[in-house]
Amino acid sequence: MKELEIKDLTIHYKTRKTEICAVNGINLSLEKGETLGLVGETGAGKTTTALGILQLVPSPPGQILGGEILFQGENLLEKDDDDMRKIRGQKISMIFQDPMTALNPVMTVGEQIAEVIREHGICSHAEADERARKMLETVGIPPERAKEYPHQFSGGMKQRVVIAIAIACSPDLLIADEPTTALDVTIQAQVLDMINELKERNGMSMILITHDLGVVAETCDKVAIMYAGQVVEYGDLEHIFEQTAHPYTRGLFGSLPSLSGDEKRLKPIVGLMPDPAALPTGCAFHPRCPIAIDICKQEAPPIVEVAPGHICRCHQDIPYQLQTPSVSGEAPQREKGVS
Amino acid sequence: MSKLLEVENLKKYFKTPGGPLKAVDDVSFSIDKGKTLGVVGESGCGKSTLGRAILGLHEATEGQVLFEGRDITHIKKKDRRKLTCDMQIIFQDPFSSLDPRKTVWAQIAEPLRVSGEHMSRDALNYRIEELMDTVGLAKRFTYSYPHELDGGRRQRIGVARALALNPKFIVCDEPVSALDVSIQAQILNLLQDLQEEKELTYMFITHDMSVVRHISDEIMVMYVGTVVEKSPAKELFRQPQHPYTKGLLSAIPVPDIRRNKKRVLMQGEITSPIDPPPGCRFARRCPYAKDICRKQTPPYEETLPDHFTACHFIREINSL
Amino acid sequence: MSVFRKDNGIRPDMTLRTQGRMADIWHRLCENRLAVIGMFIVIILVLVAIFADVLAPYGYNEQNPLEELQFPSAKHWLGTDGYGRDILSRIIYGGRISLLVSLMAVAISFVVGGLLGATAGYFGGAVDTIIMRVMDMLMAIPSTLLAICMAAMLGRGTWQTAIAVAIGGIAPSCRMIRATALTIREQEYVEAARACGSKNFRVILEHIIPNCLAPIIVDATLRLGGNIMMISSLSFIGLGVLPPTAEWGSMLNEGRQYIRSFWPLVTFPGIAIMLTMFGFNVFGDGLRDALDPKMK
Repeated sequence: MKELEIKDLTIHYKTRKTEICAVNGINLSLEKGETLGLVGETGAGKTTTALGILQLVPSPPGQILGGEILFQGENLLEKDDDDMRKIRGQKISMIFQDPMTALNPVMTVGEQIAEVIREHGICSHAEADERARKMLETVGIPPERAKEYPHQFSGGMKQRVVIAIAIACSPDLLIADEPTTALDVTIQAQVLDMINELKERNGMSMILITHDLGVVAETCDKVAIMYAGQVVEYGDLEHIFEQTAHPYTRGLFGSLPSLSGDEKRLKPIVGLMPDPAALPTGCAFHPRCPIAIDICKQEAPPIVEVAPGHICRCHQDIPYQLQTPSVSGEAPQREKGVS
Repeated sequence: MSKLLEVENLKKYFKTPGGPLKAVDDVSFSIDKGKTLGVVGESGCGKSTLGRAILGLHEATEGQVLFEGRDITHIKKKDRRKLTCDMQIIFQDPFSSLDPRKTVWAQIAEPLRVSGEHMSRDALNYRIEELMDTVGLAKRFTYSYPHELDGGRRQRIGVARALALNPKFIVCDEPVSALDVSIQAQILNLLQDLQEEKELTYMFITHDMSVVRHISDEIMVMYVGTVVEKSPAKELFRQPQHPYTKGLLSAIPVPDIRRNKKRVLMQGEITSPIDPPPGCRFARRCPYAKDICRKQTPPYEETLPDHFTACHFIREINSL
Repeated sequence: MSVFRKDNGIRPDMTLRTQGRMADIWHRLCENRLAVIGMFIVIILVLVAIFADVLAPYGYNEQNPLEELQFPSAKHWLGTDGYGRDILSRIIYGGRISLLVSLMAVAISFVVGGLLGATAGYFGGAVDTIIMRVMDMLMAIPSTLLAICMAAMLGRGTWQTAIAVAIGGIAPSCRMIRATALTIREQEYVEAARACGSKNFRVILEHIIPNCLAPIIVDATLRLGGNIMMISSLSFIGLGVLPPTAEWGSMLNEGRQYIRSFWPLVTFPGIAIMLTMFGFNVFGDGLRDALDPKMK
């Protein structure tokens, strides 16, 4: 049985004037103990997907319009509030991006960790405090600091506390929403190493939301590339990084300045992310796609399994490339009437 | 080649209740005309303060800044205003660096209007149109407000503003850090094209190592207010000398799954710049630190041609 | 819109959103029923003040000794006062004076307080300390007492009353604008303006004050109501505008002596003051919510 399986999940935000199509029928699956990287640019629907799994999409205006989220074989969308509350924190928990605002400034960090443990009624008051101190130790903070307040910690330390809170009840699935984006590189390396180690030790599964392909390469087993609320490419790490199929994924790699190559100019994807309230017809990527043909403008692309376990949403047969891909042709750099 | 900007022993301290915050502490370097100096470092290393101190947005505590051979550290307000025509800055956050109540036209017009040179309305319109074209902003956005535009376009306005007075030198303070990768690449290409076209000199401040490598001719690595290493860009990545640079480079996640994942993990946190202890600022995290590192400030010297470092044991560590 | 969580500190692309901020604000305002009622009261008040000459059936000082202290009738809808003057007409003209003086007072206190506050907030340091300590001294005196003292010193009259009322409003508006200016000062666009060589005065006028506008509008609306109250109070104790100019407060004062025998003279000006206060307060609150939906 798969640990998590998402089928055709659709989440829209309906406001008075517009309907924002944040997530449009995505399919994902995750085995126990695996890490799935959810990659995409701003507004691709990564965070909404994560909130959807936890049933925390702000409503109104958010609405889950359809689909299934099977977690350990049970559909989370059919659970009521009480059941979901038990699942959150205990079975599935989430780390938010900004450690600076995720902690309550007037509670000591020890109390904040103990609160989660108590909330789920696992053990007594005193035991909860004791466990909180142990959790701090697990994330590499001396347990004496449990009595300190968040402002006494640095950014990296705060993120460790946030992680300690998230894993305090040993969840089966951890959703990390850009856990290291706000941190410096050297601190990011420490935190990522720690998350990986905790994951292995507890046998957790993890969904890592990020826009940094470097982080993905170092931590994930599976990767899903999201664009405009859809998973455009999904597969193993090798599939995505070495046999890149979708033109958007190729564009992403082309946009990255490398640490070893000697490219003089970058090859960005032309244009901008589409407005999620007015997505293009057909394939949402077609206005920016270097190889778009007529059918791309009219019909939504089919889901094609280009290799076992490697899924790509594109009309065209894209030959496998064995080297770092690049978008064909020099992308025009200046915006003239684009978008 | 002529030096456009020279900085000598620049210091910028801020007063805080806990003692002086040594944001920039004894930094010296120079930039040649038409080149790009990348300044990298983690948050709190003083790289932004350095850029602002050079432009005079922060008054320098000590030291000198020479622009085209002229000392501009403590010049009069009036002269400073003239100098802003030559030295400009592009900011990090395209969301807070634009006044939400002004149209694109007004944003770009501002430097032109305050420069003191009187321009007729037509001339102003013509110049703004020209600038928008240069940075690749479609004409239909002339009267849009910033909140109607996306991050990439907003950053283009920032670039247009900086270019308005035909500067020779631009401080780019994390100009792409807040942008998505595909947009980031568009802006980086734009900056490079402009440099070629107008012979601009950049000081490019960032924390992103791959971006800095891509755009810079030379790279300066800062750690808590001091320069630890400076070398030509490619060489820094090929053979980093300072233990901090080594740790920093190996900490970067690389989008390459075949890479050898062994890394020198740096322990501990960044030293606070408030009243730092004597000696090398990196000593607390350095695996090679000895007693002398905690007592004496390491000399900043040329260890290889064009390659400067500040470390007591640089030769031992790198067996030079 | 708080639909999306912060993602690299950037909102999702909203490029295609063509409707402006004003339309959004207007929509939010209209959703608040109480605010709409308040807005109607304010609009009616303003219209009545402007067209007082057309609307009032009699002149404000048209005395008719034969028709003293008459109860409401078809001829005098709201009755007449001790000199036989039509109460309705006097209330209409009184509204014009109240609104005019109140507007003048708000304008004075915001120009003076706004400039001082923006200067204090923008420069900080010694300038800030000096300005704000002076403001603290002003704040220490109860505003009613201050207005009474000023009115007594300056004498009676339209301008004098406006200044007397305005003085008490300078300190609060100065404080409010200083607080807003402090947050705006930290924005990068202010630094950007300085980096391209703008003079400080220009930065304050072009960037700081326009961005303080939303709280200024809200505060001004609320203060307009408060000032009308203050003006009435001053007139009530005989310090406001010169008689025979009609003013709600002075009408109340005149009516005081007949309070047991002749109710219309105290009741109708009282209702006018109450309705006006209610209108401005409710409208101001609604505006605040509409301008800043996060505050709710």
